[in-house]
Amino acid sequence: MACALLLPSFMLAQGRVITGLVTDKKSKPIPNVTISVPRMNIASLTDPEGAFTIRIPSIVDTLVFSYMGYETLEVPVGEATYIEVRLATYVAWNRQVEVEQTEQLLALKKAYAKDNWEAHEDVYHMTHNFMDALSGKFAGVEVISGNTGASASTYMRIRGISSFYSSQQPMIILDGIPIANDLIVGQMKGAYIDFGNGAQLIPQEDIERITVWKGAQAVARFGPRATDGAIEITTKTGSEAEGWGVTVQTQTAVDAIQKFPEFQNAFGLGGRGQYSYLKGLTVAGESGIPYYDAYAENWGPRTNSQLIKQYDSDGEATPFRSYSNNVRSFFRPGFSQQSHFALANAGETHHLRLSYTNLFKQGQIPNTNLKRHTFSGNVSKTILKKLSIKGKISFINNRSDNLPLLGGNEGGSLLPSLFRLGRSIDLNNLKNYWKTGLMGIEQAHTDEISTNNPWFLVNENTHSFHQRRVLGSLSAEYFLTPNLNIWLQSGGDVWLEDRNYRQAYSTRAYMKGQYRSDRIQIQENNTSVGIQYENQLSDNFHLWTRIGGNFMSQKREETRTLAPELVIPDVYSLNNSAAPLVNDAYSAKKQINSGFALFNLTYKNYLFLEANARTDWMSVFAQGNRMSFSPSVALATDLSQILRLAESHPLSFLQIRASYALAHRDAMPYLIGTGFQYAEAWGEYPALTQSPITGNPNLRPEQSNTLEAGATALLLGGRIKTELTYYLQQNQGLMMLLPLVQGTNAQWSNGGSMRNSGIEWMLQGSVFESEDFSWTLSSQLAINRNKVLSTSTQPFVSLSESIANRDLHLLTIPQMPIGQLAGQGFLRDDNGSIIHENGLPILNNTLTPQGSVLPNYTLSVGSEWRFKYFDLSLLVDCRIGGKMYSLSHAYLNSVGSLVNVEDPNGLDATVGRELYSVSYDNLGNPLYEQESAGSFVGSGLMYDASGQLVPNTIPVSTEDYFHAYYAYGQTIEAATFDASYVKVRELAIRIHIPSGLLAQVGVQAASISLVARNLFLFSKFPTIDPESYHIHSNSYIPGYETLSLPTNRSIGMRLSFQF
Amino acid sequence: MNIHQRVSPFLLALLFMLGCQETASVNPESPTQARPEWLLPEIIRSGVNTTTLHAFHVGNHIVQYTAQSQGHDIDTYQWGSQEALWDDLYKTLGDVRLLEQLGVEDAHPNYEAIAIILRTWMFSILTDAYGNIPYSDYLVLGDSASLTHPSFDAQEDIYLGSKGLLNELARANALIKVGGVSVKGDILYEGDMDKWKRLGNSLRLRLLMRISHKVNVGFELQAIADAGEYFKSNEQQAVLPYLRTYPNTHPVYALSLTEFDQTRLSQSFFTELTRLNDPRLAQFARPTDASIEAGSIPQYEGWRNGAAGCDLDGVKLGYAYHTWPTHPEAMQQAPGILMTYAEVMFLLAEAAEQGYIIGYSDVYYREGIRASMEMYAVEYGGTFVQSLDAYFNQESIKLDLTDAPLEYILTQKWIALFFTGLEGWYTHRRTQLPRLISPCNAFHNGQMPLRFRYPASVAQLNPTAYQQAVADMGGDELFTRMWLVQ
Repeated sequence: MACALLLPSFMLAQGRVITGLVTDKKSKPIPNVTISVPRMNIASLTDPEGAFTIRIPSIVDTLVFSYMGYETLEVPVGEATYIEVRLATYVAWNRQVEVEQTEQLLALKKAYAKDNWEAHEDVYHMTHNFMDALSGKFAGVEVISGNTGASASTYMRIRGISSFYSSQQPMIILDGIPIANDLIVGQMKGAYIDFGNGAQLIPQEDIERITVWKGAQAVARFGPRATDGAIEITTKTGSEAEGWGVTVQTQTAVDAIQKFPEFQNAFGLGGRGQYSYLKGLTVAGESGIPYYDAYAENWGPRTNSQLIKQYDSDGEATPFRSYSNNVRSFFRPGFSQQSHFALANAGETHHLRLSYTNLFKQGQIPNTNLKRHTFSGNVSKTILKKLSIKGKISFINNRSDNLPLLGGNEGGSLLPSLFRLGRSIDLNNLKNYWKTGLMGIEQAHTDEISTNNPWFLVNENTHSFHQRRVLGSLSAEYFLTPNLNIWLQSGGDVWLEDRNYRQAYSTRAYMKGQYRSDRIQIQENNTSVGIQYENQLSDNFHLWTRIGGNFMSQKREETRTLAPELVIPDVYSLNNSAAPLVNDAYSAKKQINSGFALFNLTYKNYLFLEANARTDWMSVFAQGNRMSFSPSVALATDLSQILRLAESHPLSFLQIRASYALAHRDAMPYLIGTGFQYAEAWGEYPALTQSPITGNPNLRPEQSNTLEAGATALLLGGRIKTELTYYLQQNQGLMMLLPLVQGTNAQWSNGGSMRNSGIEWMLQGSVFESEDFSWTLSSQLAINRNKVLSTSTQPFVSLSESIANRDLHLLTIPQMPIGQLAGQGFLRDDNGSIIHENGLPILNNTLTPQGSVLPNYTLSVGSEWRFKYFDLSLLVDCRIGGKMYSLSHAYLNSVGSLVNVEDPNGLDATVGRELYSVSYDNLGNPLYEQESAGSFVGSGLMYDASGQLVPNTIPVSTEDYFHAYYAYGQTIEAATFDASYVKVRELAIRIHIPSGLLAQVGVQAASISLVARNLFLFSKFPTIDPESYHIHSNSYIPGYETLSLPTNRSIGMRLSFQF
Repeated sequence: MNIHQRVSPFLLALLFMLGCQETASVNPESPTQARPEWLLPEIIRSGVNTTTLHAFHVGNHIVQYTAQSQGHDIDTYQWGSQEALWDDLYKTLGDVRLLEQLGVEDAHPNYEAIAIILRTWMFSILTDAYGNIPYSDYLVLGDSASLTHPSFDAQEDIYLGSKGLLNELARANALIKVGGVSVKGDILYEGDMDKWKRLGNSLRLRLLMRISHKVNVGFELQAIADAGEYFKSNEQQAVLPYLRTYPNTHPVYALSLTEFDQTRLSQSFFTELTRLNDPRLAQFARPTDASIEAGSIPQYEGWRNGAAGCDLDGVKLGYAYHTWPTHPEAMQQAPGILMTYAEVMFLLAEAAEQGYIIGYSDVYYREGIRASMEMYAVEYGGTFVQSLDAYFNQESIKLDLTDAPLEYILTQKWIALFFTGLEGWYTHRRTQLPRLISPCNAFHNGQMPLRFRYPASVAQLNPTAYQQAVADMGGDELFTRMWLVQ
């Protein structure tokens, strides 16, 4: 055969040559085994006698041997120049084969964008959500971690936004089986609880490799649910074990606040410079006397120790001072502990891995936590040589006793209680949060009506969940001939979850308490069957083809039962309801049947053609619109072979590739028919109302066309690898929700089109290498340009509704990028100066777009140093451009709690205030003596008597100005800023304990690591960390921050042992 | 057996299975059919909830029944877009439209008539607030496709067109069959069609008086007065008696106590009620905390409308309007007001006074006052008048002693319209009575705006029709003059 001894022509100029022999367990040589170097795109094949030669860079110490039907083996080569390898029969099946084959057999046949991340090679920090660890690892993959509590979800965006509805998430595939990654938000009166996205619970220690599929090629592989890309997770199988192996890992980490609002300490509780406690019921005045004792804002008197009657002073006037640390001290350090035990065994015809992972996390909010236990088993067995069977199962028990209620519901969510807390309040005094003698009935707080005692909220109003999850799959593969095999694979995901929401008596929004019990069930089954054929057709042509089908069925059920008021305080049971229970049930089923065919042809190992065709039947569409055909084709060539570059040429390898794909997107079920909704019964009268969605039987799948071209080069003998990809994706028939009956009922229709184009560039290289020391650098840059091309007949489409009474919209405007943040703004003159009336800014009446929430580009730079037994790695992550609205900033300013020296609006809440000194008459009533009137003059213009614009000169009180300017978040323009940031995402030091020491105690390998995540943040965004999102109606909403928690830096220590 | 033979059956089976799929276009938890009696409760509840909430948040502040002690945008005429009124009423109108269609399809004229009365009520609120609005497209039953981008009708046509509000009410009046097939699900009137007929005619009186300065309405008013099929007692008036349990309570109950407490009795309302020794004050507001605690004679205070710093005094609203932590049960549950008997009496009093109808304005006027007093179950005495007769005997009440009888009538009507949606504003806009004081620190030189701006979303979602409406009306500003105020 001509390819008998296939020495790649990009053979490296430097490095060393290793030769060897590959045989099976019976010492028979195996031809065509791929020998490759992980992540370096260097490969070779064995000849008919099983012999091989490969030239590798000197830093490489591991070779990977793979061949279809045999187990992939990683072999440490050390100083060897000749090695003999025996391969065990491999349990080849479905995607595993696909990955191995496409990746390795043909060395560099990467005709489309797909990035691998080998989990085990990275020193990383285990978080409760493995998706967090992917930030900065892949070009074009944006990972936005939430600041929403112990089980925070992770919002992931691959190549920007490709639908008009932003929350589309990549498909998650675990060992070939799709798993649910739903976000099921706990929604309560404008507030929310983040119970965590569905996929977060896969233990990082079980992950062997993560592959990110981008663009329409993901759909070609995985079907219509992968339109926003796919994350393919391969878990460890135990195949690497020799006999019995045991791994023990443990990590302990502490979370500390990274960015916290800058609270002012000059003024305390009250309004208009005044405060005196009467009964905690006076929002402003009573009998002509201002008290402001239930005002819950920090526009009160100066905290200069003047004597004022306060909520806790029992009618005496006591020094009015500030407690500078009161809000911050409410947060405690977060703490997490993860332990992982794995047992692996591999033999001639089987391998086995059992693992247990335990996570305990204590949130930064007192009395919040997350507890997770995961048991996983992986087993494979080869029977009769031709038949192999593989099984996998995971049981996950995931729960929390309490997660915080976030968002802008002032009567119930946590942050308004802290943001409105008087600077003059000692939070420790509020720890006894029941009134004397009224335990369980009435909370004690600084006032009786406005906000809740934060200790009361976190200890009494708990929101708990208990999720049980089973992920499992079984597969069999049978070789009809050595070239032809069939496979059958079936897998399931079962998600059962209970949630309990408790609101105690005297919660401001629920005076008589409340209890709610939710139950969620999600089940998904996937069964695929297929046949594949692979053969070396002639000396020059190699063919690999597969035909198969997949059957997906999914069922979701949710029931919510609410006891709207309680009879007996402090008893949380549906039986204790003082009013009829309110029930709400939802159930949905959908199916996708798919047939697919893949055809892969290789010519002389340098020209690769792959064609895919799939047809999907999606049950969510009406008969006739159900079937979609999605073809794709990809072509790649190895130019270095064609050009026959000399071995000494600095360009060792150059591949160029191009692809085209057509893809279709699935939709939610039940958009095609119209039903009714139950409204709450009126006494014995049942009530119905029309569904807010009117069905559209003509709805079709969205369509996307993607063109992609790219190049990969290895330079200087593989020391530098760089990859550049350009893509152009045009989406048509995008679904839009259009109001049908003006203002209300809406209907989905296929009405828009949009274009995403972009460049992804990756560079990795070895800066220095020697026996003891190496330094590698890597960098990822992604630029995505989005443009809405058309939107039905409408110029605008609101992408999301108003949040918590703040009319904040994401607009879709033709010829502009998607996600235009828009809302109430100020009336300005042509030069942009704000126009005032009565000294206050005038609001305009148009939705002024403030810019897109999408970044201009993202960039990450990683560096790794290895010195003897030490590894040091650093990852810096940048996001440049894009807008973000911060309700926290607007809210804190509205209530006068911030000092805000670096406020981009240039407003300081501590100057220009009305000042009073407080004394008491002999009846004990407060007397206020004005020391200065409000003197805040907003910068901008006003109309003079003749109607001319002149500079604004009218002084007002700072409080009035801030109320008008920020309006508790309703003036969107006042709190929308550039969301750029730079973060030191990861810093890790690992020490490998020398094996000589370990061998004496029976340990194969051990290491100790210090890991830090999100160590530093650099951003001009005021008050909050701009890496944030809002969640609403089970969607991630980018560009909104709505009273989420401060972000953390996390520092931990990790120990790892292998026996 | 060759490969081909082995593989073919396998592929055929696969192909067969791919075609099999369940079909469901609607969520199995959702009903796909509705009957009129299931639609009616939600239509009435959501319609009345919308107007009641707008009375609390907007209407009561505009005509100075109440004042905002924090956030003074409504009081000081710094009005943003009022999306909720538009959105909520048009949403309910979608159900009303279906109710009407079912009434027609089932040949059940009483449901059809109820649908017409309720939609006329809602459309009148909308056109009075915004001016030209989408109207006639909604009257075409059946296919909803034309409603994607409904055109805006001129306000004059909405009132006077062949399918306008007034003609439609007349049609409803003719459709109603008292004693006909029974109506179910009627949470307002328990299926009493006589009362619905009276509501329809009472609304006609309201709308005729609304245009009385534009059009000669005497003939029609007289005809209605002669027929006498309008509200004749408080038992017949359209008020929704809210239930005691969630979610069928008064919508203001669902608001947080802070939000409720920030609303105070207005100085204007307080001054008038005090001047008239009016016992309704004790129902509309609760006494000052100090006087409650002291157990002394109840004291009341008003808050001058306007930005903070203007006042500090107003008392909170009455016990009927919220649940108080210190007060276990509300003394009397407030109902949701659609239209009262008292309002009808004042409409007739004004019509008689203006000479549109033949009648004694004083008789209607006194009956209006009596009805309102009765509705609020006032207790005479204390700091107020000792009896209804004593009330009528006051010089400030006696219509025959004044040379400004309209002012007396409209002052009483103003008091009686407390919490009646935006009706107080619409009446005041037409009559400019009673004279209200200018709010402190008001925008627009203290001029009360004439309308709401269209919701911002309308301009985006239905731009062509919106632009046309703006061109027809001459703008989309707070002071753009709709037909009613031209």
